[in-house]
Amino acid sequence: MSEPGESGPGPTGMNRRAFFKIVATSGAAVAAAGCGKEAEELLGQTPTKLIPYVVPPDGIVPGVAAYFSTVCRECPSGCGLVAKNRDGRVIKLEGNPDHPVNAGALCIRGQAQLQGLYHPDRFRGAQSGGKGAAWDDVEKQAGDKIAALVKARQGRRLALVSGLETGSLGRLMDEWTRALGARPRIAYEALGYEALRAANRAAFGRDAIPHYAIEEAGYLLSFGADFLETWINPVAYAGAFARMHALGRGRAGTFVHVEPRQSMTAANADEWLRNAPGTEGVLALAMLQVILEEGRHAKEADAGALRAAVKGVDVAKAAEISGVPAETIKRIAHDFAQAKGALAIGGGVAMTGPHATDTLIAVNLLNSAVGAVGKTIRFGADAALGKTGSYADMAKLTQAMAAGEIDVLVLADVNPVYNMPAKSGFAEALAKVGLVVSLANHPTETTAKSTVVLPALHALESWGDYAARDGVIGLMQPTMGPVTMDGKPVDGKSTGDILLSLGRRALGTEEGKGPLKWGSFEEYVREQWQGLARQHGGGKAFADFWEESLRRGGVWGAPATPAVGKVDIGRLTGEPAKLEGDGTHALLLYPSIRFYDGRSADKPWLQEAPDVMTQVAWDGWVEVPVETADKLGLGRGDMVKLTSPHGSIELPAWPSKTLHPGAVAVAMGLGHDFPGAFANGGRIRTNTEHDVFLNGGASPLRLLPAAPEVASGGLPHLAVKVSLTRTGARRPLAIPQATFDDENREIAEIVGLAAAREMELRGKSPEGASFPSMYPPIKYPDYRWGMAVDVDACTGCQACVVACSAENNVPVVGKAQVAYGRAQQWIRLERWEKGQGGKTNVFLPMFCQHCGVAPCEPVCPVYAAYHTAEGLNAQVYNRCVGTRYCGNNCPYHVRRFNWFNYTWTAPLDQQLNPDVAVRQLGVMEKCTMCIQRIEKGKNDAREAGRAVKDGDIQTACQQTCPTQAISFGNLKEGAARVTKLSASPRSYHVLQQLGTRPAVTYLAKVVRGETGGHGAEKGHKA
Amino acid sequence: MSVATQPGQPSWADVNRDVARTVGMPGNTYFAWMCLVALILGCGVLAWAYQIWTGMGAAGKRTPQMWAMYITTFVFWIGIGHAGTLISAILYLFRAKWRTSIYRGAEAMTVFAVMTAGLFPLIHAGRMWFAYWLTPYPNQRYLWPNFKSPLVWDVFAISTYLTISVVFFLVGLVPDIAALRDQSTGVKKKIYAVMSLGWEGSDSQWRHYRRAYGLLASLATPLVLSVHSVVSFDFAMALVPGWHSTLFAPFFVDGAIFSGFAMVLLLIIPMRYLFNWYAYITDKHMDAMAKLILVTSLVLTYFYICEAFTSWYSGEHFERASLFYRATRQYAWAFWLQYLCNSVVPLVFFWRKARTHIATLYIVSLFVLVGMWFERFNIIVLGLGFDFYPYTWGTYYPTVTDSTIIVGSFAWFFLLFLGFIRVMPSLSIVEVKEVLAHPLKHAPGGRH
Amino acid sequence: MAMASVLGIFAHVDTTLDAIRKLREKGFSELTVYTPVPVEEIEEEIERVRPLSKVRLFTLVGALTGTSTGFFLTIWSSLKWSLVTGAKDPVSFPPFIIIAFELTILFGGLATALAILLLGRLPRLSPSPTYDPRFTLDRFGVAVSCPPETAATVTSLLTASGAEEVRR
Repeated sequence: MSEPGESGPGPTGMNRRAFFKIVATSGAAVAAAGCGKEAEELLGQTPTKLIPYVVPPDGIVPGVAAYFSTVCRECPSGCGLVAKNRDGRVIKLEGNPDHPVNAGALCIRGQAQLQGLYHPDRFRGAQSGGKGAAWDDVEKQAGDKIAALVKARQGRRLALVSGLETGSLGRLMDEWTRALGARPRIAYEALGYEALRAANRAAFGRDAIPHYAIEEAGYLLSFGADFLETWINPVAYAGAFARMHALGRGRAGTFVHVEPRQSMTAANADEWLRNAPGTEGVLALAMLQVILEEGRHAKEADAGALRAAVKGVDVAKAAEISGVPAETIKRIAHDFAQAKGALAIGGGVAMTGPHATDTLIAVNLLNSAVGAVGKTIRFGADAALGKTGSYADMAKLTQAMAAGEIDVLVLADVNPVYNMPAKSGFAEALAKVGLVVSLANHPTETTAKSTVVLPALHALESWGDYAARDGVIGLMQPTMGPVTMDGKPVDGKSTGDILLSLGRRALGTEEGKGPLKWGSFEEYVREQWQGLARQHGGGKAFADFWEESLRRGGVWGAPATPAVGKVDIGRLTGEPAKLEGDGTHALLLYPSIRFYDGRSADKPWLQEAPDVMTQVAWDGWVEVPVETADKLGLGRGDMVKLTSPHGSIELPAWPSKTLHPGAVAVAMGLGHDFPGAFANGGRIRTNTEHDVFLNGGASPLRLLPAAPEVASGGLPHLAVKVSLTRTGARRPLAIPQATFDDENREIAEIVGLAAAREMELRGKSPEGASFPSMYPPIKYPDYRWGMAVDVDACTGCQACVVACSAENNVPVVGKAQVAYGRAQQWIRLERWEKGQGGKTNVFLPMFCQHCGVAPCEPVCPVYAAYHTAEGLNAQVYNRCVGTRYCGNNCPYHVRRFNWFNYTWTAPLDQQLNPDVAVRQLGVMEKCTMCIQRIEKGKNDAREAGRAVKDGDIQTACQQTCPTQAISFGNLKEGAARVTKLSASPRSYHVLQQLGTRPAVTYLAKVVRGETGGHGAEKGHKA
Repeated sequence: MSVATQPGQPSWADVNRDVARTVGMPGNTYFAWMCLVALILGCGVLAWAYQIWTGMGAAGKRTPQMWAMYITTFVFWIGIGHAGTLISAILYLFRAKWRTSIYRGAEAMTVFAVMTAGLFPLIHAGRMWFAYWLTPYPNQRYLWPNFKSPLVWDVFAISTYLTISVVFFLVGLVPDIAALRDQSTGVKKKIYAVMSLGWEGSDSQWRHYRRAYGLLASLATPLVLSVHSVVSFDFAMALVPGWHSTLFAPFFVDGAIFSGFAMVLLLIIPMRYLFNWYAYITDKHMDAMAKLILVTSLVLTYFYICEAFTSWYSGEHFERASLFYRATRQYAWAFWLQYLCNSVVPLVFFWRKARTHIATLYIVSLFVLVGMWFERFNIIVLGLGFDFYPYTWGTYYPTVTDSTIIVGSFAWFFLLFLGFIRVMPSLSIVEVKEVLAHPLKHAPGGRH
Repeated sequence: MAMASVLGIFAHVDTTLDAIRKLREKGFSELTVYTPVPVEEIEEEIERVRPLSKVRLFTLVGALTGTSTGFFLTIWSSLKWSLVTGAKDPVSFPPFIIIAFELTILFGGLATALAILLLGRLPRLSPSPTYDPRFTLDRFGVAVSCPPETAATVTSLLTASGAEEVRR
């Protein structure tokens, strides 16, 4: 423990001047580390000891959090982040409320990236040949090799592959390749959206992905675009969708989705058209045909060109091919053409097929026909994804490698060995490369095959910047020092720094001279931002501009909208996709909301949060149409062998009532080849089980051909037909939801749009049931905390589930426990099939209802469960004896019991929230409405000398929700959002008739075309 | 032997002798049995230790079946206890003479059954090392149990029941121990002397004793009825469909007595054989108990019908669904087994011969015990399995750990009982004598 | 002056009863009667002059103490630590009745057991001089304590009424 006034590092190993800087600037909700060196100095080290309270090192206030704004790099969307740093460790991530893209929200993967930061598998230091090695040796080895190439003027034999980098790092990499005369860098994204760009080139003459203004659309027609899951920017689009679709936001637009599989996005559609795989283009053209024939197209549309395009397209034939009735096609076409702000988008399997480009061109033409371009489709603010390299480039590189034309290959945080089809032969080609240098922070299939690994720091530990879309440039700063593992910080550098020193070594130049003169990557970033300062700084001194940008998280501008060229694309063949192989079922390979392209698979939080549609946790599965399942006698968990001309994999079956009979569906992202701690289903250190390497190697990419789509150079995910054989083996799936039928138990409610509108006018009808009591009503002196969940806005993305786990130290329990109904999550996302034929999917976030008349409280023999004066249903862990009576008596079964002593594999434990107790063996726990946040809010208000205002306090689940479906506040405050919503005519309480009087109110989902019926009545009663 | 095996009435001296010979150094077979039982108990203890170490997860509980076999067995043992008190207290008040030769054994059974049941709340608690928090004890933090919780009612009911049963039991024992004292020699005599409190059977002792005994009996009677009612409140006070019923108190009490009598038969029949007590425990007794089993079984059946009827007649979806799923989904076999064992099998006792036919009695008793255990299992595990929230429905699977602990509890009970019958008079000397003809010099009516 | 005590040992109920009556008639009231089992007739004979046993008083007091303790404990503690559970008042009467009832039985029972010990003068550390082990087997005993000079009369009375054996 350090004496006051003692200089040098305190017991935290942290320079106190530096730390003082932070604490000074950490007042605001979003603060930045003091600019420049101090920050570096501070963040150079992470505390390894606890901070003593008795005599803390100068300037350190234990328990005071510092907040750093940065950019989320889990996927190319580039959402803004705010990282909460407590005593030198990042413990929680939240969306940056000032960021124009995600406006404070964050998706499930964004929340979970903390587990990438603290992943037990992270490289502790440099590696050579799979074994630990001294950094300098490895860097020298690589540097010398490159130097040799440079000297020999053989830069062509050097290649650099990186992920999508739209900012300074990208530019530095290009300077690097230029300086070394290397091949042009390939920015490789497994989901590259090549076809979308190609289609835009063809139809609009712009090689970019525009901003699709879903928020302004009145009628959204999606051809397979999973914009609520992974498409371009799911967080932004989910928010936009809520604005255009949810009744609560006034618009209540219509959303029609076309896809062979009922994806989560399809489940949110008002009408889901199940088409035959690969017929989206056919449908689009047919609709276009209808619009043109009936002259419903917008006047500004170039009817001539459009007519040319659909020449010979026959609606009846299209109907027959696609399996969508002609009248449906006509109806949709009419509605689409009439709607105000119509918008058609294409993605998912429609975007990655043998002629995906044609499909997307057809979709584009639909947009032109209704004059959406320039209105709901805006070029200019183009998405980052428009700047990726293509799969074709990678294929070329692979050939070069195989031909031995590459001596040194630098792979910057990419995993092509997993992401490219096995058929592409990348893995084999890698062996032919003399030296493969991987810059990555955790092991992957690719690092396993690399000669050397130079650990690159995690994005949360590095400087940088990233433009989510043109004009919106997010600034990245280290939110903490390198994570401490095995007692010392990991030995790594940011990718930029590694490249700089590697490059200088190769060029033989030193700092300050030559093409790569910058001392550090941070310096380079600052230099880049000088330019931005002139542009956006408004004449401010650079230092101020820099400081301000760090606080804000970047600079936001709106670029000019360029003219959209009119391109005659000639005639489009209304042909369905031709699939390879003589299999029985088309293979639908789709990106998963939880694992994206597979990069997130090793995060336990994501594994444990079940896929919301199938409710499968901790494992891969293949969705088999129920017809086929019956034929083959497949039940849930029966292993099926999928065989394509290119390979075969085995996965447990999940019979699906909704999947197109001619298809099977497998999500991308699982089936990894390396025994990571958690990927593939995980090895969770509970006291119970160790499923290591679950469904390892069962990556669906093994089934795909290697050939890119000709028109776009993208990798077709919809390319083969597979045949199914039952292996006879079984691997039971962990499915926490027992049934999707709620038997109309007042759990998930729906109400027809008309009825809902009428109710809005009539206002909330008086309480249906009355609940007489022997006892006087409870008084709540100051606050009565409550929540309202607008089920109509919930898309089922599950960001709340992971956010809650992160905030409240909820343990991960592993597959076997989840399967046995012992998942610990405090909030779970249920899917209920409602309405006629269960066609309407209702997503219901269920957590402690904090009942006014709580059945769990009086049965507790020791007052461990009791009601606070603020209406919270409190659970006193220390008092709990573990009789579990409360668990029985809770009709919602949202109480979680600590069946075992759950542990966090180091260094995951560094993420634990110091404000929340880690529950011990044998006690009951449950949602607390983030009582620690409530307390903080009250304290802040007290210090500000006022009462808590609405919005001061946000629960973790509410904060991260992209659609703002959840609201929290004081029910005694009439003006509070939560109070208003709770009084909505659509509001109801789950299991209302039990008279538990929950503090959590749900708002019934609004369905189109349903007269309401059951749902509506309930709506009245509530 | 001669006296006992003859149908003729034994003399007072015979009684003392026949009881005295049952206590004292037992043979090898006895010890062999004891060892076996102790071994099983040992396994149970180990299993419990393992569970405490790993956590409740070691037992097959899950959400929503957060209660399962432990509470099942707890209720089962409490129920067993009831027959003993019924025989020793209620039948005493009714002056049912036939009780005299079986009530001692039955009372011992009660005490040991309650001692066994008492273990389960501990075994069941997630943090059993804090279980004492359920008792009201003064502490500096003014923490008190929640007297509104049925579990705290349990604590009071069970501990009262145990205490009163023990007192009643010991009081009954005193004169008999005195009798043993006067027949034995050496150390044994000394021990018995101490335990008999120097009882002499003088008129002043008898008159207080008799009155006190009567009063204890009349206190124990409402108690025994209340205990299982309170236990039933654990369920009736809860919200769970299939639990939340006003029927439960009488339903449970009747079931308790029902299973209790089965257990009494299970213990008495071999005891009579081993100790050769045919002179004291006659077919009359068997017949009487068989009749009681029959009656309680019929009452139970009536309750079953009520249960089903009300849940159907209520028109409430939850109640109906709960019953329907219990009868049709997994564990349906257990559901139907319960009816077979409790409502159908005992009907054989309508047949006079069956009521005295030892094998039949024995087998029926076994069926009844199995049936009653499963009745509680079905109420708890199946009731919770299909309650309000379909999301969480699922199947509970027993584990090696909890099964071993359950078996161990039976071992614990039999260990206590076997120990008892070898050191204490398991036949009431005094009361048996009382019902034998009192020695008279002149034929009755000779003088007045 | 010291009292002598004479013990008559009987084999039959009627003879014992006869002896007791005779002694009473002759004015010997200091009797102690030993019986292996409680015998109605003998008890009646003795109860005629004795006051009723006080056991029930003990029981009553014990029971009432229990009731009041039950209510006090529950109400006082809920006031002391008044927490709302399930919208119930801290002091919600109905559940407390159960506690009170159980304690009534408990205290009543214990008091009764206590009564046996106190009133029955138990435990006895050493057997009384007139006690004989056969009294727990099948013999009855009538012990008379009387002035020495009348001992002879007592003896004859006992033998007359059929005592197997008379000790003095």
